[in-house]
Amino acid sequence: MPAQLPYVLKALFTRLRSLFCKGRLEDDLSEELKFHLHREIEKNIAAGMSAEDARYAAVRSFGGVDQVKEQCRDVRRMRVIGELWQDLRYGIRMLAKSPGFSAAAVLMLAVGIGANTVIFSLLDSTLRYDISKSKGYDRLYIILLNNLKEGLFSVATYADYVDIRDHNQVFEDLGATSPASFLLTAGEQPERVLGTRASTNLFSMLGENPVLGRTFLPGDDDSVVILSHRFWRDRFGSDPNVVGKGVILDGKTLTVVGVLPGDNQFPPGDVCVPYSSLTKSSTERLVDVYPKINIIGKVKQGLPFDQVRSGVNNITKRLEQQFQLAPGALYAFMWHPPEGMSSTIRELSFMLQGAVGLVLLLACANVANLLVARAMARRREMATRLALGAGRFRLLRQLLTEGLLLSALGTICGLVLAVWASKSLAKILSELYPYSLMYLFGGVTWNGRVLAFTTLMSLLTGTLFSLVPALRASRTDLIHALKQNTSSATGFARFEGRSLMVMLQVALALTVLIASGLLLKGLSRAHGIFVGQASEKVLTMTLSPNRSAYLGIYQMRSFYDQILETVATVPGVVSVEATGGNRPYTAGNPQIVGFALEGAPRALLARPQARCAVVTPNYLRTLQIPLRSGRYFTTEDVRSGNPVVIINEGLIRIAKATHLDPIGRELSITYRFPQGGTTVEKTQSHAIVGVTADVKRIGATDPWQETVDGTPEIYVLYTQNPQPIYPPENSVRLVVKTTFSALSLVRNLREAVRTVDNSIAISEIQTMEQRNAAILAHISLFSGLMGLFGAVGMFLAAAGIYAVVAQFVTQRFRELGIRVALGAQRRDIISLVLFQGLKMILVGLIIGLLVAYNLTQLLASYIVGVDPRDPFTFLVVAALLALVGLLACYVPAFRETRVDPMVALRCE
Amino acid sequence: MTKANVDLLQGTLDLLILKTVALEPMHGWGISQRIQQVSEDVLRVQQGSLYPALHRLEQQGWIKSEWGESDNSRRAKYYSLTKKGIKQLEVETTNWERLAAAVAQILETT
Repeated sequence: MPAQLPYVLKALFTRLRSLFCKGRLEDDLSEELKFHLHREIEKNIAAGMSAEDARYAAVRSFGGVDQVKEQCRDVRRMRVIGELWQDLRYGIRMLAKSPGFSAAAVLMLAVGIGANTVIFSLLDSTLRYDISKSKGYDRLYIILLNNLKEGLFSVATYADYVDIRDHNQVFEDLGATSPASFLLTAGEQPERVLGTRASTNLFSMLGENPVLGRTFLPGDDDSVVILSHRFWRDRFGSDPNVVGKGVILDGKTLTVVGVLPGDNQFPPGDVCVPYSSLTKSSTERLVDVYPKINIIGKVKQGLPFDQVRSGVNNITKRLEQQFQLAPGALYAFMWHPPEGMSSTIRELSFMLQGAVGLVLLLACANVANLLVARAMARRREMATRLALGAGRFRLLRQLLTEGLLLSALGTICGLVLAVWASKSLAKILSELYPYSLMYLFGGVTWNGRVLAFTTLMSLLTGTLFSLVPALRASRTDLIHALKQNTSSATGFARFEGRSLMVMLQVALALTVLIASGLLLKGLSRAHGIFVGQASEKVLTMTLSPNRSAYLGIYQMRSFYDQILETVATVPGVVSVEATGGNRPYTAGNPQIVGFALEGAPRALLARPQARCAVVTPNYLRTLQIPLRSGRYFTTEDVRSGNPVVIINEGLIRIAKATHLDPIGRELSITYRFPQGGTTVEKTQSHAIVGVTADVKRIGATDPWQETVDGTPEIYVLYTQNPQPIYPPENSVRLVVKTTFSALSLVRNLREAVRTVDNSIAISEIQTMEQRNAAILAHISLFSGLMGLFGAVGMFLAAAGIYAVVAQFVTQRFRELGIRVALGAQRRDIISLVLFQGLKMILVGLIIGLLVAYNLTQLLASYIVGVDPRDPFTFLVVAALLALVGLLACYVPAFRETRVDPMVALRCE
Repeated sequence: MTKANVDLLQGTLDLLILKTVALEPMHGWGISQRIQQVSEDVLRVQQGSLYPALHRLEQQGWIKSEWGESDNSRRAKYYSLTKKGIKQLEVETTNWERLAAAVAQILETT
């Protein structure tokens, strides 16, 4: 070897040589050592020993040749890589040798790691806004102006927005948005698309740059539109020349001016259109009118929150004085856009993450358990390798490599699983939250954080579950292990360790199960929801006519009469009802009216308001909204024309009229509606004929829509609606009762509607059953996921119990055989095994109960109305787990105890 | 084996090897014999430590090895000192002397 080569190069050369010319170096080494031995022998012979003795003495003085070799190899550090490769190959061979074990381990890890990846990805996307502080999102606040005195939410109008924008000290700029739906004319049938109305300064305030074209300019009116990236991709095939093209929304051709970037998450929806000049010119103040305005403010740089808060309070105080409202009547809710939209999901994601973390731990424990079992089978192998000169560390590394190999395989399968699961989850979420939250989770996003998390998790799990058996295996007592007959049962100390692991598993599974049980109970109680009859024989659908085509109130009415008549003739249809007000059975803005109840203490409320639904006579009856007193509408009401009205209990509460009998009293209703460019106010008096229960709603599925139980609600007959259109969007929701499953009629119903008007858009077709499922979906999704993790945890724990009990029986095969030979009944054997299993399970359950007892306090804020230490849930879940555990004991006990004493005795 | 021999202090084996091969290129057996002879059987080098030490020193570039013919015409691996090894020998010698002096001083004063 040339000596003048720099040392580094030389060292590298040796190391590479040690990797590639392994044989050559090995030969050198043995030759060197052989030479040494020869000289030693020669020396001994020279000293007068016989050849035999000389050789023996030389070998003895040398010590273990192989140990020396191994130590020399150690010195060549490149060996690490070589050995890694060797370990890896060996590991792969070992895994391939026991495919059942490998498949079970990989499957368990895949489930654990996959679930963790999905949930982490969900968590990550809910946290992403926090990271996008560079965009100034942390300075953004959504300001929701509420009239607390009248129980009204979001009362800001466009004029209020302009007022606040122009007279404030704390915001750099303020923008306004409203959720909106549009009729899109493209292709044969019109469609309904969701979008946003926005003030023209919104995008410059958000600092959002389009990928194509421009955002809004101050002079833009509602003749221009900005498209979401998705809409541009799906409808225009990502046409680079889309700017300047037309999109027909609500029968009007709007010019595309820009396309938003793909990761843009705000404003929600597919199209964004500036406010119309009609909205902008309205001078109404502090009323809940359509469109609902959400004010978004960007706080001046460096302003602390309390200053912002007091600045906003000054605004509300000023407005109270200006409009002679009681002090404190106005209150502005403020939250960061991401907070308000995703905080619930985020918190739930954290909890889910905790739960899947525990599940992964369970899976790890199981794999560790399997590995321990295998390590016991491999004790002779390990001992042999130790005896042949392998270092303990080297053995540890071999086992670690095998463990990491397993976890790597598990991770790969887990990732495949995660991609699939996240796609389904994303689909479910986008159906649940069509408006706002779908952006939160577009599936697993392969960013650095998710990958880092998965890799870390994979490494951690691999280390975790291989370390336990590895440490144990390397402690093996050589002589003992080498001599040991594999089937003898000396490993009882080892057995203790495994049952400890099973106890741990039972405890973990119990914790997850109790948490999910509490969540399920809490969620279902917190949202004790009345959503009408969950029937597959009641179909609802939204009809959105082209607004410009029907102007007059009589035109509208006869149009809908015609539709109702036509639909009623479809075979299979029992009855057809309709409502114009979209609450409570459709999404979107509710119609708000003013009211005054005869005989109610007037002074308490300056301008009480209620949600108004325009309905056909049998609407309430068909949906089975409970009647508290009085009666439903009848067709007689329609014929006679006497103005009647049905109210809910919430209205009576708000009007402080609970002491009055409302039936027969007069309710005067003040309608506001746009007509000919201005807003017209019209007051009309109705006689109250019935009181219904409050229709309870689920927490906001659309965060823009604050929903409060017990909000005043008014039902008005459609023939007595004084407004020119069906408020507020002129859409009508049909409720069709059918004799058999309504979904089979959808085609016929569509055709029937189209024979009346071919330009009508039909959307949101679903049965009440589907609708209820959709409303409850996000609750069921989260509790379902929780329950799923609990179930997986339980399954894993059961598998652990099964494995240990089975092993227990096999190991004590001989003992059991002796027992049988001495006359023990099979029943005795089974109960012996069961008793052993039960001990483990009980200890695990007690630990689990203690852990859960201390942990469930964390859930307290999520499970309103349920004691986080609810004894019922604790006991039921523990009993369930105990039962499953016992079953997991019984099966192997039953299967393995068919002991033929002769076989058992002979087998050793 | 006479119990007169002394367990080698950590690191002293390196010094002994470097010193031994500084005289002339030598094979492993020769090195162990030489150390034994010169120390008059006080120091005996275990083969289990000698060869790993040789390989380690070679790896560090202080000694180099060449295959050569031994006196009984067998192939043997001869180790010799490199330039870096000469420097290292000086460093280790100084260190050893300082250590020995320090130990001696403590033994004398107490």
